[in-house]
Amino acid sequence: MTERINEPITTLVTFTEKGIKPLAFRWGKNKYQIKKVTLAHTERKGNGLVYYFSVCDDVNYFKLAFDTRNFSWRLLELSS
Amino acid sequence: MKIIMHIDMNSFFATCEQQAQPHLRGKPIGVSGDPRSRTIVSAASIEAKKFGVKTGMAIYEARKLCPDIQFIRCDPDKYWNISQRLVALYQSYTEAIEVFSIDECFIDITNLRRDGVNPVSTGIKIAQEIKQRIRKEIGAYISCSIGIAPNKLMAKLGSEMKKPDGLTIIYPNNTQPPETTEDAFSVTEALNRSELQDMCGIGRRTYKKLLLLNIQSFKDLHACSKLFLQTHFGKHQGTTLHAMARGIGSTHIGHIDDKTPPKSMGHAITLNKDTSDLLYCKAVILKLSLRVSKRMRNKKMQGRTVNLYIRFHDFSGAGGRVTINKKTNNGHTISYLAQDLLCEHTFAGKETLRKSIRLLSVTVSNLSPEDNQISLLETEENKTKAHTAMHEINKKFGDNTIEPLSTINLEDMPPDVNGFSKRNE
Repeated sequence: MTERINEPITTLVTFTEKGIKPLAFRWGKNKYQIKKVTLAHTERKGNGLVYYFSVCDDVNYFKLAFDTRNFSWRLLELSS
Repeated sequence: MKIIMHIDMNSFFATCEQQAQPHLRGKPIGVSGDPRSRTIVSAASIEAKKFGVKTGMAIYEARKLCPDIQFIRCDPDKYWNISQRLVALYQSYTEAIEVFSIDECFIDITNLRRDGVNPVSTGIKIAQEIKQRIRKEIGAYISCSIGIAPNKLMAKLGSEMKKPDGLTIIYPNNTQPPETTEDAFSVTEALNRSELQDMCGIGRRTYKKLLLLNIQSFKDLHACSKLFLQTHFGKHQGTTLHAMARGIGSTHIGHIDDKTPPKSMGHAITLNKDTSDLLYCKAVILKLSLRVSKRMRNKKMQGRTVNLYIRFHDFSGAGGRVTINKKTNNGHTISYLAQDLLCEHTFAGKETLRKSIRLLSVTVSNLSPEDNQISLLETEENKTKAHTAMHEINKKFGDNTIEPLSTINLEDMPPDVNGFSKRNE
């Protein structure tokens, strides 16, 4: 069951020649190591761009969003 | 001879979700609106299709057929973005692409001959390459079926013949079959292997009519004279059916950037629940009109005819249109005209309607390019300036940053039902 979260997170990312890739993030007191980015897509919001990353650790699926308008990361969805 | 490729993504919305959420892979899922509200299955996964779940089915019907089905909320931006990336991938081969829908494209590969290889073999190699690249560059779980044929009609039929992940080649009757390990059929063989309703252009009503005339297969259809088909289906459709039975279809594919200007622009909404509340319906009409206005402004177009369609709770419908002298793309003007039509057709009392409403649709037609004629009336000119400013603010900061007070309570209004093709407008 997918749960809607929509809360701010602190994210560790790497910038490669292929683009931006989240490596790990902290949500509340928990830290999550990202094992795989299964899908990435973008959405234009006004003049800004939001990057969405569907990612997995060993047991969970997460949907993260990076908003270029304010350079903030959010955890949007979680499924365990 | 032309060589046309048709690429059809398999259960597109559902496989996008299964790509994003690995725990859904191999499971029956349906992509839908909010499953708690009135909604339908927008796409069923390959696993759900095996239980008979189909696109357009009501949620309760799908659950009856497949009790374990999981419903995933539709994410249009995700599908739109992936579709754009797929088109960009095809563009790395040629610009001769016709985007047929969010998950279907025709590509003219006639001129993509590679050194020393005949065009059909080149097409097969490119098709295999495209499949591999989709897996690598978009997602390993996303697959497509491809048809290669001398025209669009047969290429589309070819992509229908093997699903999922198929590759079917249909070659002209009088030529040698290509050397390939993939499925290859002559035009006649392909038609004889297919059902009438597999063909693009033979819908439910045409199929029923064909059956009534005892035409049950392409062989039967082929035996009919053009005159017989024209007598029963009209000149245009009769001629089309006669050509279909022979595997004859259009080969025209323009440039990816060629776009014919739209004849109309509209939006429709199925309400979360039936309502006879006049004020609520008027607010919905305003919201729909603003959405239409936004697209018209983005396309720099204006229109003179406003159409309103109402579907009532009992699925009966009513509608009307009004044509004005001065063309407009002002959302409020469109809304006033549509609201008048609503009152004309349904108004019964002070704040209630004669019958409760299920769906509302606002369309503007009679479109032509925008002209920036300044009104001689100062109030009109001020209104235009205000609407232009509103449009610019929403364009810069995102939809609904600024909106009329009466539409603020419509935040839960379901998303537009008719338009993936217009997401970039």
